[in-house]
Formats: sequence, C-alpha cells, structure tokens
Amino acid sequence: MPLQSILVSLSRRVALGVVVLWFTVTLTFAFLQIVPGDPAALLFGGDEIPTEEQLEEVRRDWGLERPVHEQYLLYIERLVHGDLGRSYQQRTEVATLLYSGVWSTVILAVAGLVLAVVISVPLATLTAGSSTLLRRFAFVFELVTISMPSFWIGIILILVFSFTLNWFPIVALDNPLSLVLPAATIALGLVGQLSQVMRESIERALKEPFILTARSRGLSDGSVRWGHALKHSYIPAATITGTFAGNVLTGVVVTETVFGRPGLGTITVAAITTHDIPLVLGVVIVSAAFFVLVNILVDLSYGLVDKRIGSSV
Amino acid sequence: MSRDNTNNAVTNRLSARPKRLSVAVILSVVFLVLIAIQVLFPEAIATHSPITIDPLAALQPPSREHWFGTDNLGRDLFSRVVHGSAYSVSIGFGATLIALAGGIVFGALAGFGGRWLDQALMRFNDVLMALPSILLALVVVALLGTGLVNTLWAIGIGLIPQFARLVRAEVLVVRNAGYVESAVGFGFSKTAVVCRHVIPNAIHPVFVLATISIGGSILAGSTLSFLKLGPQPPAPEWGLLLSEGRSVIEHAWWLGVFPGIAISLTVLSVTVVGKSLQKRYLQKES
Amino acid sequence: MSLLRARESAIAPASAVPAAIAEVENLNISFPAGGEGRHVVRDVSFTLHPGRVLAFVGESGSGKSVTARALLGLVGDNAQVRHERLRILDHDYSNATQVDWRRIRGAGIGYVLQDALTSLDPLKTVGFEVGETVLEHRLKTKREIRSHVVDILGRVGIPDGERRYDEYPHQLSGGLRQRALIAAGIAAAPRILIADEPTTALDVSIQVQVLRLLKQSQEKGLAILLITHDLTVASTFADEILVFRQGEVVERGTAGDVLSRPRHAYTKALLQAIPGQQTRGKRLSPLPPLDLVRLRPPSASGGDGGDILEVRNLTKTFHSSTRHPRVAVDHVSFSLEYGRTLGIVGESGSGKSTVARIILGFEHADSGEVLIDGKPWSALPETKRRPRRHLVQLISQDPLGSFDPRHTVLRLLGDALGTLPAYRNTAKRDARSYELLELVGLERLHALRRPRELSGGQRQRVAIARALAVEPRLLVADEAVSALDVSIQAQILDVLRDIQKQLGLSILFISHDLGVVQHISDSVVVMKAGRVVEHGDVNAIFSSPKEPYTRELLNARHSLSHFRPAPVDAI
Repeated sequence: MPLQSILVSLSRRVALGVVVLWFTVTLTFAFLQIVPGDPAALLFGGDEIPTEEQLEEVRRDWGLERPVHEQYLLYIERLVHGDLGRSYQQRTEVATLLYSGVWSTVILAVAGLVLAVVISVPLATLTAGSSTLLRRFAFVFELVTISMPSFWIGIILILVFSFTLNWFPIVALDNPLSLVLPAATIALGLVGQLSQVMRESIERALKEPFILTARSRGLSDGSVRWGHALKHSYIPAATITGTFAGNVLTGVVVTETVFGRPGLGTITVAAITTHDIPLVLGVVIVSAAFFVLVNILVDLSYGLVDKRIGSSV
Repeated sequence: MSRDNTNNAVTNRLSARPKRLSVAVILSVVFLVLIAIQVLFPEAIATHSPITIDPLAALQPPSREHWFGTDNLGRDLFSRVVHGSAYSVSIGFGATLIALAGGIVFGALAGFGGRWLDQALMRFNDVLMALPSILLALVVVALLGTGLVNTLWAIGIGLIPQFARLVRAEVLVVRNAGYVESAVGFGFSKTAVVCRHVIPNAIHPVFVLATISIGGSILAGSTLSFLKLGPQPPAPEWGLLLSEGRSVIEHAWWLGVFPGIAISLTVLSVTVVGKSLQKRYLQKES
Repeated sequence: MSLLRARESAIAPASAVPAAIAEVENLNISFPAGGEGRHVVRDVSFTLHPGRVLAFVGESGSGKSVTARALLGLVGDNAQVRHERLRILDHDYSNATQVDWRRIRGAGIGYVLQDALTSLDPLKTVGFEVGETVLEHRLKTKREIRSHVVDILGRVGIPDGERRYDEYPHQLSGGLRQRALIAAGIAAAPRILIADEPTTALDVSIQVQVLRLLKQSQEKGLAILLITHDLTVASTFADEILVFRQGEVVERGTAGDVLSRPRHAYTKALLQAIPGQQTRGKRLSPLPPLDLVRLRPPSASGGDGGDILEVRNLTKTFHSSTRHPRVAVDHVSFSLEYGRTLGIVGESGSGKSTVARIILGFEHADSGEVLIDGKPWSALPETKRRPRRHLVQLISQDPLGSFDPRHTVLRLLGDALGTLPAYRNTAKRDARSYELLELVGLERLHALRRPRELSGGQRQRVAIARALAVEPRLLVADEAVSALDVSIQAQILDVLRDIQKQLGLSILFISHDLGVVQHISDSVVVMKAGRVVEHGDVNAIFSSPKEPYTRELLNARHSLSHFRPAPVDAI
C-alpha cells in the first residue's frame, strides 16, 4: 500500500508546514508586542511622526485597543482570509504590492536555480572520484564561489561583463539578456555547495559494491556514473535545494539590489529601510509559505526516487 | 610472532600516513593571523585615517599613496578595509558563539532529557529550521533596528537550530555507542560515563561546525550590511563599503573589488581551516 | 569423515576435463600508488573449464578476489597488472583496451558478489538490474527484455517474476535477493561465472539453496570460479582448489587431495582450524596455550555444583509505532553451571542477542528474571547492580565499537582496572595492564596503540584482556568470532578455552555458526523466533536432535559439507 504511506507522509508534512507557518505568524506577532514604544507608531512606520488620525486608523485596523489575545485572533483571522494588511507608507494593500513584484522575482529565482543545476550536475558527475585536472579546477572553483558573498559576485559580473566587455545590459529590463547576469549571480551562489554535496554522494555511491557489479556487466564509465551513481545524489541535492529555497530568497534580495531590478527583494529592502512593518511582515509570511511549499514537494519527491523511504515510514 | 600479520600491516600503513598540513592550510592560517593583527592593532597597519574626508583626493585609483585607491569622499580605501576587519571578525565570532551556546543548551537538553523533552524540543527545532534564517534576520533587524549588535543577534539566533540538531545527534550517537554501553558494563556510573566518554566524543564535530559557521556568519553579516541593514555609515564594514561603492563602480572599479577580496579571502581561509579540521576528525573516526 | 568422501567423488569425473576456456599464467598485481609498492598477487596461474568449478580459498587480504577481478579487467585504475598469458574465450587480453574488456564483461563472464543488498543498486528495480547486461550488449531489444528477464528470474527459482520485475531489492528476502543477483550474473548467458563469496552473510539454509542453484548452472556447462574463505563450501562444491596466502598460491589440487592430503603447512593449519565435532577438546591454532594461572583469583572456587547463571522465563516484546509489536524473547529459561560453556545457536532474528543483552543488564525484560551467582540480578535497580557488574563481562562481535576511539589500549585497560579497589593507584594499574596484555598473547608495544591501529584478532584479545581485568565469573561471547578469518577465529577460540580451563570461568557462547558452538560448548540452547526449541548436552543434541527445527539446521549444515551426491550412504 504505497499510496497510503504516501498520503500518511504527505499529511504529516502538510501538518508540519502549517505549524511552521503558524509559528512564523506568532513569532512576528510576538515581536510586535515586545518592541518598546507605541505599536501603532511602529506599524505606521516611516521617519516622520504620524498624525493622530493616522494612528487612529492603524489602531482600528489592528484592533490595538483590544486585549492582546483578541488582537492575536484578529491577526490570524485576517491572514486566514488572505488579507495581509495595509502598508501605511505606500497607502496600498500589502498583497497588491507583493503581487506587483512577484513575477519578476519568480522568473529570476527559477532561472538562477535551473542554471545552478545545469552547472552542478555535470560538474559533480564528471569529476566524482577522479583525480583529473578538471577535478582540481572544480575543487578550487567551488571553494572560491562558496567563500564569495553573492552580492560581490554580482558586482564582479557587472564590472567584467557589463561595463568592461559590454556583453550584457543590466538596465534594459525588457531585454531577456538582462536576466543573464542576475541569474548567474544566484546560480554561482548555489553551485559550490550543490556540486560539493552531489559529488560527495556520488563518490560514496561509486565505492558501493553495486557499482562494481554494474561495471562487471560491461557498462562504460559514463553509463555507471550517469545511469547508477548520479541518482544516489538526488536526496542530498534535493535537500540542499530545498534549503536553498531560503537561500534563493536571500540571493534574490541581494541580486535585485545589486542589479537594481524591481521585485520582492527590492520591495523588502525598501520596506525595512522605511520601517514599513506591515509590508515586512507580509514578505516574511509569504516567503515562509513559499518555503514550506517547496520543502513539502522536495520531501515528497524523495519517496519517488528512493522507494525504501516510502516503505519504511 | 606471526599472528595475523597481513591485516596488521595494512592498518599500520593507513595510520602511518604522514599528517602533513597542506600549503593551502598554512596560507590560510597565515592570512588569519594577519587579520587578527589588523583587528588588534589597526592603526599600526592602516596608512591613513579611515574617516578623514579629503574632497581633493576623491575617487583616486590605486597608487603608491593610496594602495586600494580612495572613495567618493576621498577616504583611503586600504585603511578603511583594515579598520573594517574588526566588524567582520566580531560578527563571525559573536554570531557563532551565540549559536554555539544556544545549540549546546538545547541540544544537550534534548539528547539527555528523556523522550518527551527530546520530542518537544526537536519538533520546535524542526519549525525553526524550516524557517529560512534570512527571514528571522530580517524580522529582527526590522523591529530592533540596524547596528552591529543587532546584526550579530540576527545571525546568531538563526544558526542555533543547526547547532542544536548536531549536538543532539552527536549525543545520541555517542550515547548509543558500544563503548558507552561497555563502560556501563564495567560498573561506571551515569555521570562518569557522560563525563569520560559522551562529552569528549561528541564535542569534536560541534567545534568543526563552529569553525565553518564563522565563515558563514561573516558572509551573512556582510550581506546584511550590503543591504544597509547592518552597521551604519561611516562604519567601514566590508559589506557596507561595497554597498557604498556600488553606485560608482562604473568609474571606480577598485571600490567594488578590494573589500570583496577581503571578505572572500577571510571566509576562504576560515573554510579551508575548518575543512582540514573536519578531515582530521573524520580520519580519526573511520 | 565427510571430507574423505568428498575426495573420492571428486576424483571420479576428473578423467575427462574439457578444454580450457580461460588461461592465466604468472599473473602479478601490484598497487604502486598505495604506499611502498604493494604487491598483492604473485605469479598466479590457473585455467577454467566448462562445467567445472575452480575455487580460490584464502583469508581476507590473500589476493583471491583481486585475482578473479583481473579476468574482468576490474582490478582498479592504479593497479599494475603483469602476466605471461591471459586468454579468455579464445581471445588474447594481454593488451586489452577498455572497449575489449567491456565486451567480455557480463556477456562472456558473469560476476556475482556477496551480499546482494549492497551489490544490487537500491534505486533500481530488480528487472532493470537483471536486464541491464542484456541491453548493454544488445542481445535483446527493449521490447523483448521484460519477458526475457521474467524467464531468467524463473530459472533461478524466483517465483512470480512478473511482479518481482518491478520490485526493488529491499522488497525481496535475503535468499531471493541473492538469487536475483545470480540472475543478473547469468542473464546474458556468459560461459564463465565468477562468484565472490556468494553465500557469506546468509543463513545456513539459504546458503544451501544458493549453492544448489550454482550447481545447476555448472551442470549446464558453465565454468565457475568460486571465491570463498570457507573450506567446507569449497571442498564440497569445487573440482579444483587453489589456496591463497598473502598473494601467492601455496597449494593447488583436486578438492579431495587438498583436503585429505594437504602438503603446505598453511593448508594444514587452515584445515585444523575448522571447528566442529572432530575438534572438540583439541587446539585449533598452532600457537601454544596461554599461561593464565597467575590471573586466577584466590576466591574462585567454582565447581561447587551451583549455577553461575539462571535465566527464568524471560519475555521481551519490542514495540514500534509503525510495525506490529515483535516478541523477541518468548518465555526463555536455561541455566549455566560454574566453569562450563553454554552455547546458544539460532539464525538471525531468533532472539539470542536480546537474551544476551538482558543478561548483561543492557535491556529490561518484560517478565521473567535473571539470577547471577544465585542472587537477583535483572530485578535489581541499576545502582544496586553496579557494584556487581564486573561479574558478567561481554566479548562482542565488534570489539572496536566497544572501545572509546580516543583511548590507547593502556588507558582502556586502566579504566577497567580502576573500578576495582585494589587498583586505585596508577602505577599498579599500568603494571597490571602490561601483565594482562602479555597474558592474552599481546606485546608491550601494543599498549600505546589505539584500537583502530590493531588487527581484528588483536582487538579481540584486547577485549578479552579488558574483560578479564575486572575478575569476572561469567563471559558472554556474542558472535565473538563471527567477523574473524578462520585462523584468527581459531586463535580466539583457543584463548577462550584456555581462559575457561585455567580460570574456571563460565562462558555463554552465542553464535549462528553450528561448528563453532559444537567445538566449544558443553551444552547447547537452540533458539528460533524467540523461543527455546531444544536444550541439552552438546553431543546429545548434535548427534540425535529431537526437534524438527534442530534437525533442519543440522541438515542444512550437513548438506553444505555433503554437497556432492555421496556414493556412500549417511550413517
């Protein structure tokens, strides 16, 4: 009954996801309570002192005159209905603001992830367990990219490919070429760790007796690597990619800032610098939801690749 | 005596392998010592004041006078980078210490505290781990405000779950190890077993993780600074230097290069040292 | 006696040997990169013939597996292989390229490794693995492969091949898995099959099934190269035997000759080292007995007729949230007299190790009781049991795991001695530690090594020394020799017997290996699925078992050593 075990693990995952989201929401709410000062002023944000009417509006929206537990329930209830609140600085619904930036960000993140996988898989598979020059190059390349902050990778890419070589524009947003450098920045931030983790598990797999068995059947070195060993790196690599959903978020925030691209990242940074707390909370909750979703999918995919996982649950 | 000599010869050869330090590790250690000197005696190394503004010397390329060039206010970049090392080092160490302390407390509680406490703490930990640490950092900074100390907390708290999980896992592995059971079998008390065997064997990987996470914290700290969410100007924090230089790098490449090299080399050195510690540790294990 | 019969039958078919299909002359293999030019195989020559079995016998590290892999060109990238002749299936492979090798692998020579759980890719279906060779050599199209594989699965005795085709290795039982691995080895109809320890790590009954399967293939004309550490298996199954030692062939001949008229001292020692009925009361290893009398505690009177260990009605059930509760130990009772050895035999999962853990106080029984020296033991709270724990000591299968990896041998012994009031003083402790090492046949220089720097046999000696340090009355040996090579196993079994004879200790000896138990025990408990099936004097049980299960176990072992249809009837 594999379907049943899949459903069991799915519901367990979803339950954990709901808990994570609830926890995030509660955490943000708790922070609001802890921070000293008038919560209304804090929520209003900005550098100017708000008028009494403006504060009154905030208090009404958040139910600040009511007891704490009612505020909390109100907050949860609003979120359950998909209402992320209002940004008082920009005088717009938070959801609307986020929606305006989401597509540009998703395109960038997906492009970056795909590029990272496209680089890492062959790099790891070809160099695992060998002592060639390529392996040594890969080793240094990974170590260096891991040690570089991704915003600096972006700056270097701009300096070299945009300002010096003039290959890729960075300002013309409607030009698809303008996506290359930002996507490369995100990818380079992930490639090092991803290919290291993959190589490690491929190398572990290559030492297993079943690889010797496969070779004894007449398979070429390439078939052994791509046909047998690579699949064994899926779970660690997927786990890392799942955690990367969080890192991608960091990467996106940084990359959008470096390249001046509009999107969730720039919205987030602007929100923090202008103390636009409702907007910050909105970003946090939406990204937590995204993160939870990605990780549920990643966990489910384990069982598809490795049947032992489904049956042992 | 010809008792199973072949086997013995093999194991001898493995253990007799010279434990030589690689060139990379030596270079890394030397570089980290240099960084330490910069942190302790920045004035001795810096050629100029890191904050004195000189409009006449603005945006000069690297020269004999200004090794790394100058910024748009005419401040000497080399001196600013030297003075900035203290920020990176305190973030790296501070955040890791917070994570280490929190991780050991929670991990040990879970590992030793019995089934219920363990389950409760680990589910809580799962939730924390499921939350990207950048989100936590953003919330902390958005609410508490920017600055070195807040940056440190923002990063350190985010790392706690990772440490807690490792500490717990190590404690559990060691607790169930054959040699712990064997010590019980010789009649040692629970406390004696924990002090003699569990803690000394569980602590190594935790220190390895700590070393590696110093590098990670430096990266995270510089990222927050770059987003202007860390220490504020005129602090010469390396990420902040790059952030300030970002707008003018089309005309002054040096502002976008040298602070980045400083960050990367520091993180690289820490990583290399951490990996070599890890390798040594793993070699001992197998 | 069974050995003699095997020889007679081996000589008979030797008259008409078919022409060789593989010839290897003066094979030399070395690993120049690994340290100071390790030479692992020296001047080995052999031939393979259709329908005949050649066995390589030797202990670990003797070079037998590497030699076999040379036939497939799979020795390793950094290996240096030299030979005067290497002809396989009418082709010269002296200067073979990778492409040449790939052509013969699988299609010309099948290769079966031990332990199918790790030798089959856990992420691929059984059908994929079995069909891979066939597809790689383009012997069938993708459309035909399924029916072909199902057919092969049927031939190796895997029922319901259609369903098994889509299953993964972990879904198969150990026996079926090993069959699937053999199926993959013969799927492309090779003329040579290399089987590298194909039955190691399998329960006796399954070993017999697997060997029977190989036997069938041989009768159909396959040339088989069997690699094994087990002389019994080799003697009953092979036509010719090569005995390997440290990379050299020290003896060769027909199975019968090698077993009944061994010429080389090493072969003789190996044969002598095989424990069983015929070795009872004899030494297995050529090493002199230990002199342990100095260790004898003055208080150890023993022999007063009482029981050191009494197990009463033990029951233990393991609960798990996902699976049904498993009754690991089910109303088990037995007792062990002072100065005697009690063997517990049973296949994996029979509950024998759980019983040991309860006796050692590492596991609590749900009900029932263990008495040590006639006094309560398992019922005591840990603090009350602690001062008496030294009375019962464990010798485990994995001594390395029972040593703190940071400590030297000296420290390990010192720590154990420190629990005795007489050894609070460090100097006294060190002196005693050195003395103990010497007594179990180790040298002073071993004291400053860490356990992982010692060989398996040396580690087991350290474990024994450490156990003896605290003056125990009962040793629990849980599969203590199972991981060791035959000659090392012989040494350790001799050490245990010396201990017992000279110190009057009682030993609870747990093993899956009937021969070992028969060699060392005075009485035997046979366990199956948590229950005691039979309990009694070792000679009585092994010569006239009363229970069907015991008979089954003995028959399985019997057929291992009487594999060849014997001309003379069994007694």
